[in-house]
Amino acid sequence: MSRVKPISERAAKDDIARVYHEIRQTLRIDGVNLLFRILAAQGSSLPFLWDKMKANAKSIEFERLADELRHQAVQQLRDFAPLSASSKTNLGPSQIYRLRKAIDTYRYITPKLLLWTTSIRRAMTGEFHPISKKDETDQAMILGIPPTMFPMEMVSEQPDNIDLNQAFEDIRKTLGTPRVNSYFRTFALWPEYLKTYWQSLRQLVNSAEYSSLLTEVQELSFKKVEELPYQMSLMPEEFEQHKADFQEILEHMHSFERIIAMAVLNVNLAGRDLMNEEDLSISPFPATRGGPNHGLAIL
Amino acid sequence: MDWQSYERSQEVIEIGDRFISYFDSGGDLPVILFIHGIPTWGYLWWDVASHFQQTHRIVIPDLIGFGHSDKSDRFDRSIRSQEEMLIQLMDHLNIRSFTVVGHDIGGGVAQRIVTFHNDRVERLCLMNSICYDSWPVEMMLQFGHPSVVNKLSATVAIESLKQGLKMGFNKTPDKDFLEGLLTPYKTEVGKRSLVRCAAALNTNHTTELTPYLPTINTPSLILWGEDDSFQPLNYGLRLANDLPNSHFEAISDAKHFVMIDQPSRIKTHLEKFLQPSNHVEIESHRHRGPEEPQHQA
Repeated sequence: MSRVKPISERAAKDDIARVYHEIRQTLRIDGVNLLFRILAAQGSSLPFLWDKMKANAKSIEFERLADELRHQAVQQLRDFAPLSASSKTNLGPSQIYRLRKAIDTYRYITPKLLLWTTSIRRAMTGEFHPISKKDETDQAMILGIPPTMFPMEMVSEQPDNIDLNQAFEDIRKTLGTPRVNSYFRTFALWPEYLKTYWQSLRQLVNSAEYSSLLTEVQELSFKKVEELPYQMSLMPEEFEQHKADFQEILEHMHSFERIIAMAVLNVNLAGRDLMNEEDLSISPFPATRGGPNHGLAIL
Repeated sequence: MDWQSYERSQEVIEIGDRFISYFDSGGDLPVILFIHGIPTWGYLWWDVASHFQQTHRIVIPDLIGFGHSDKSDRFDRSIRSQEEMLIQLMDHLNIRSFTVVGHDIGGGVAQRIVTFHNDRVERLCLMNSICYDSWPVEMMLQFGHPSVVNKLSATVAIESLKQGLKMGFNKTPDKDFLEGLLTPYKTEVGKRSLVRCAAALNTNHTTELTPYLPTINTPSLILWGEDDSFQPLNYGLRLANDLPNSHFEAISDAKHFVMIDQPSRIKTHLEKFLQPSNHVEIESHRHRGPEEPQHQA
């Protein structure tokens, strides 16, 4: 992943601000992930890619596939030892409650982000040929951020807390990323928890077992996108028109597929400490299918 | 207790789609509900409130939109809404009646509670409270403009708020204490929530109480830092004039955050006010007006 400076939600203007709003409403998430903020800094690639993928992202099928991905990713962890980070940290009742809500936010969004990223990457490599094409009137879901969702509240990437700063530096080094992903920065709202969680996690991330799980999650996503309802192609010349470097964006997509697959795993590992497998497997914010003609004008 | 330990001691309750973090000392004792203002949270009250733990059950919520309560971007943060949430909190905790102590906008919430839920309130204490049209102060009016969310980073916004806050103390408070007061607002989400809280400050929610104040016979104590530039002394005197069963004390060498500037004197006044010998007055404090005040639509 290049050292592109992402465009923060606060700094977003014009078409980027429009897309950020649509991301929040369409993906039903109270925050804009690093992936989109990096793309936003590259010509007009984000509006271009977002608009290409919008019909799929708004569909109830996209939501269903993310739900399946979430469920299957949790099953894969069945034989993995728990991290037990929350029990090793002295968190109070309100803190545990908020941590769990934060985990719900991330375990909701990470499968959707992975599907989105895989779709774009496959379309860029000419591999996006969904086989399912349902009746268009049946596809849209009701958009909007769920009313009980914990917002993506994050500590600064350069926190004042020295221990947190060191933990972030270690995360960047160990995972080989120039940036600290959102869920780590949210977990850092409870510094002792983040440190304990990371200490347990860092021992796993370079293991063969973890790599194998990571590959399985990415393969799950690869298969799921084949069931998306709408075709999409992304040609290099289209990127040129939007002043974006096709190869650079493709590298981003490869990187983010790995990073977001890790996020799916890592957030589930955090979640296992606080909820049982069944609760962890199901969507914390089930979507509702729109009625007939719902969203048709937009599609 | 430092603010990190205080946060660890907070419990949480869901009320509808929202959640409130709060401290509750528990026990079968008379209850005091302490309500903070803007831009603080429950920790503001710790030094004073903890003094009463042996004799009272103390409940210190973080108002919604503040501290470690719900800070999402989808609900009404006005003091009218806060009043409703706190009544629901007390219902959930099975607390039927209580003393309410409010500071700043917390005092506005307290006034609404004693007006519209008078049968629940045994005693009322207001400290440097908003009232009538004494608010919002200029700093909060500016901070509450929606453009602040995008114009200022959390770091810059909170630093400027910190400088403004310092004007509310007679002496610069302990650095860790001030950090602790502002920590929940140092993230972009926290800053956004505080901007929304400032945007929700609505004078109408205290001006509408004006006709009812003279009908409230609840025993009331009004404590006021004399040198408060945010809520000047005259407003405290006006409240004392209008609340028929009230006692007023001006606290010298104290500004807006009177409980931090003069904690010992505040504790002494409150202790005296909460004496059981005041119990006789509680029974006679029902509304004397021609009709019960109703929530306006």
